Amino acid sequence: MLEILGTLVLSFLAGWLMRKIIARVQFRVGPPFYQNFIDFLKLLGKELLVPLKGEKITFLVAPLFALSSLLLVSYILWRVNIKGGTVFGDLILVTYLLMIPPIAYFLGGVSSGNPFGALGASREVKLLLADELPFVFVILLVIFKTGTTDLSQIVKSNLMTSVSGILAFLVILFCIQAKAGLVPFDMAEAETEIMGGVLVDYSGPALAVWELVKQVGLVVYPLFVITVLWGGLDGLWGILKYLLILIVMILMKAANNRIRIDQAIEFFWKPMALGGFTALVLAVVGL
Amino acid sequence: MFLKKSLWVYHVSASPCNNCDIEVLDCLTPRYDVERFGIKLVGTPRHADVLLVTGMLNRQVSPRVVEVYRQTPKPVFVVAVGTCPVAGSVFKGSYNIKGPLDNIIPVDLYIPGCPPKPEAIISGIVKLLESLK
Repeated sequence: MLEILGTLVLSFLAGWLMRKIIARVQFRVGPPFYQNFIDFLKLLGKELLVPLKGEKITFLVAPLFALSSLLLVSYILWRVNIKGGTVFGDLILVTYLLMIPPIAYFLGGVSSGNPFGALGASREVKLLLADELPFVFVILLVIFKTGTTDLSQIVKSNLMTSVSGILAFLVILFCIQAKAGLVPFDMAEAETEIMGGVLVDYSGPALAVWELVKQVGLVVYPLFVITVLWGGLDGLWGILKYLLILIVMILMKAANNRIRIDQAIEFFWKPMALGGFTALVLAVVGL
Repeated sequence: MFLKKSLWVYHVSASPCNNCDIEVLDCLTPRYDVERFGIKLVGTPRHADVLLVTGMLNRQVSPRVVEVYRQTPKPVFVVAVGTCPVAGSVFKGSYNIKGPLDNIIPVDLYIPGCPPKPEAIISGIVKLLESLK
């Protein structure tokens, strides 16, 4: 319970840090640190509109589905990183759980019955197909190098000391950027293009949960990378690792513009998949 | 209560001449930066707390403005920016005009000017926030 509460608190701070850093990059002042929390509470108090033509139950359950799977991942990762010892999940389980939020996102978009929502949902699934390929290569590399899928063993080994580990780290940085749905890979909810895509018909509390899912992603994905590739959260240096990955993600968002979905697929299936595969081959060779 | 600190604005362009829209965008630039107060632009009326209407509201667009107002989750505030939605401007009495805005939907705040300065828009928003107390 404490782990999940920690994730939620940290997610509001990470969401604020994202808005603040982007504002500073653009020479603006940016919002105060409690802004995301206020936004969340405000959305809880708004009217919840369910589209008439939509699939009502799926529409309302999808955000909870995404949130619960991400929180479950965060629970496993905190247990592995802080308490150590045996946990109930392993790397395969976490990899599958990380696939659930995009699928819930897709279901939410399709069940809204809105053409923009359907468009965003189709893009989300294409993006999932694109970024899973290099992502799976990195997971395979981790399993090959550590010889186990047990996260409490994986977290003890720092793979960033080898060439293949660093290459895999670079690949997975782009993958988590796409999984977190940040610019340049935010085409599923392109606000200026398809009016928020999947989120187009969400309002009030349901939208609040989706905003929370996006923020929790900012905690879970960097933590996942640190756990599998970078030797886990070890004290102050561990916090610096987390901040480093988070700030790289934020700066990537601030410095880029949105690319098209076909460009994203080409990016992940050509250079990124090649990079992941090369890292895997290098690991097999022993570098 | 929380609404006061976090207003999400949906910008309804109801056949404007684009001049007020440019001034509205100025509020988001580094010089004025309304994100300090938690105000941000959103892409769809479903997410909005404020409908910011610019333009003279002709026959074509007026039913759509009503539809957007109905689609927005309540509570919602309607802000008329520029002389056109406030009073009709030079188009007043023209055959194709349904406006001003308060003929169509209830309006909470009027910001006159052709176009209003960003300072005037921010001062209007501050008055709206004070009325929320």
